Amino acid sequence: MNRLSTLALAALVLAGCGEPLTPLRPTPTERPEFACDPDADPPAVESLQWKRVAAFTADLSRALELSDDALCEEVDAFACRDVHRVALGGNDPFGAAQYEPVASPLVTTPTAVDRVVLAACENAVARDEASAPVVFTDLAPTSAPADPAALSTQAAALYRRLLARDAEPEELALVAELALDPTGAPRSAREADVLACFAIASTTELLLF
Amino acid sequence: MSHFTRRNFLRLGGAAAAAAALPLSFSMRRRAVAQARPDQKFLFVVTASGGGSIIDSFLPVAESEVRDRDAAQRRVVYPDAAIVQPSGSNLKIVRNLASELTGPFSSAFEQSELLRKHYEDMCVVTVEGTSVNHVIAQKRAMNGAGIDGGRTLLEAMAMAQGEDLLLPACNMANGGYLEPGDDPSVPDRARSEVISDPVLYSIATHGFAGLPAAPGADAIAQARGVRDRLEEASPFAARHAASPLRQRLLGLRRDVMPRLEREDLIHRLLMIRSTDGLPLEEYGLGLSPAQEADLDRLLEVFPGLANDQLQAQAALGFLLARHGFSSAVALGPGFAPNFLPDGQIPDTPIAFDYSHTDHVTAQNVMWSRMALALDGLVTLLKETPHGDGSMWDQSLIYVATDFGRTKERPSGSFGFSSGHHLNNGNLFLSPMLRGNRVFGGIDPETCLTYGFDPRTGEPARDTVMREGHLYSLVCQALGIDFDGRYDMSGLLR
Repeated sequence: MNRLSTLALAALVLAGCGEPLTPLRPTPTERPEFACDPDADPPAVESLQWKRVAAFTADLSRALELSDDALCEEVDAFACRDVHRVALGGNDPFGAAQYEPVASPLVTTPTAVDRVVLAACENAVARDEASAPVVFTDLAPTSAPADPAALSTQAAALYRRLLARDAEPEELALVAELALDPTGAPRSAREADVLACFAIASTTELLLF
Repeated sequence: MSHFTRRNFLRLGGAAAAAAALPLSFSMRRRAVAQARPDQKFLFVVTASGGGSIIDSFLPVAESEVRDRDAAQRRVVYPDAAIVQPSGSNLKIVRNLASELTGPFSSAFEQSELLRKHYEDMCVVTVEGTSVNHVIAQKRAMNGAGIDGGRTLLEAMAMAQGEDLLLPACNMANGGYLEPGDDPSVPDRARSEVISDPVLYSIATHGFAGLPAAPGADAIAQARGVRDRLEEASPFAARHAASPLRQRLLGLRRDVMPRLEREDLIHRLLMIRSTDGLPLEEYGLGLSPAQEADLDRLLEVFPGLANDQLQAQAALGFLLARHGFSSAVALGPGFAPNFLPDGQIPDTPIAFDYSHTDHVTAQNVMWSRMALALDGLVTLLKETPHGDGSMWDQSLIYVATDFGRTKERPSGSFGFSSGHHLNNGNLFLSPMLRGNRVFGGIDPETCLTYGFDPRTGEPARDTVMREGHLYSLVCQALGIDFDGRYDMSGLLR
């Protein structure tokens, strides 16, 4: 292209650029809110992942030696795993076309966890109460007052089952407090088993990895 | 395993509820007192999933309006007798055609009733979207095609109005409507609470109520206290002290769960009555007389809520707003069939997208369904006191949809298939908007809509509006500002 043609082409282009194009959407005039302040602390590194519904309920079932069906039901009718699927980190691809689970725990995630764990612990204790204990062997679930030492031993066993580790002495001492009710009166072994199981299994250590 | 399936559970609950729900006269009806802040505004996004066409509902073209009668036979226009314009209304609607349509799908609710009752607060806003992919279009309907940095309307509303609410935004919709926004600056508390089952959701709001044989509340509180100290004492806690995920869980447990339980959402959001087959009192889920009265009224408005997912969503959406738990709710039919106890489905399969198979049936049935939900919701909002007026005074309903449908049909046919089309319009209901009118217009020769000047509301034939305009309209009406918001003053009262 010779110099004259180039200049003519440039002139045409410039003429066409004389009128500003109307943008499809207004151009932001301010700095976006989420732009990082250079002096700000870097975001915390996430060291954990959320153990979502299938893995969480499977771990609970395995630890308490409960079948999937026997783990937890709402109003004795609906599997908790289904009722609380989304809150426990699952997704509902068929019902809601939800192809990805929520990224972060929902408002109802802690309540759903408490419900599932409490029901599972209750079901495991009830099973061991009705027949030869398989999980609660160190503090048999009876109506007799809970022995704090036996409860501590039972707690150690629950730590191994649920969290796959040995408990720290401080942790065992904390759980042993549940041998007494809030008024200081001895609590039944049965109830102590349920509460100890609940306190350990609903910690974030079972929910996250 | 219990002998219950979800279907017979809901049938038992619904039958008993229907039997017990005696209609109350206006003088006997106990008007629920809203417990939201007096200045609280409410956003409801009702999703017409699959492609709700405005020309098959609130912006129809009558055959008599088309100059070329031969061409009219090849466009999606309706016989004049199929279109209703209630007295006083400037808006028109395709009426319920159940008596004329054949096939297994029908809906009894007369959609023109919605217009007759509420036309003063209804308007149509024309639009031409930017995607004919369902999921993408649905998401753009919620985030204005990214005009607000990727925030969805629910998230924006939660950030603006939901600061101290328990569940600032709740999403019962599906697909792309359910997806979170793409703005990383949106805090977790403003992300939507996803609700997949409105009937059973209340159960999830309490950590132990309703569990058979659970220890007493004091015992559980003690165990929770031990757990909190275990959380601090464990090596796991020491190793992962900085984990945002763990902090989020602990924060919810510490700050939000006690409020959920104290506010008794499990009873206040429960929409099922006790029956012989399911004695809820035995689970501690019986309702108080006041709650029973509230449920009576809900069942009057939404008699099928025990089994009809859309009615249940609308009912729960109202309760969430009314009790001051939420400021923004999304709901709408999904693509999965909602089977009723008799095996029928109240919607068409895949909702509005069944238009691919039978356009007129899908559109007519689904708009009837939408109208049923909308009318019920507006009715409840209008009768519920809030501030100096009613909840309705501070509410806005945006009927979102994926896109329109193609405008052509085989000559003279009313049994035809339609595809996706960008050109469409959306229905809005709110006393905060200039009602009883169409913003933009439609060319009867082509059935294509055209836009308007957003600052005046006057038609502008050489323009089309985009998702960002709809998003801007909702935000401006609700007092939500953001950089880049279109000025939609011409549509506001």
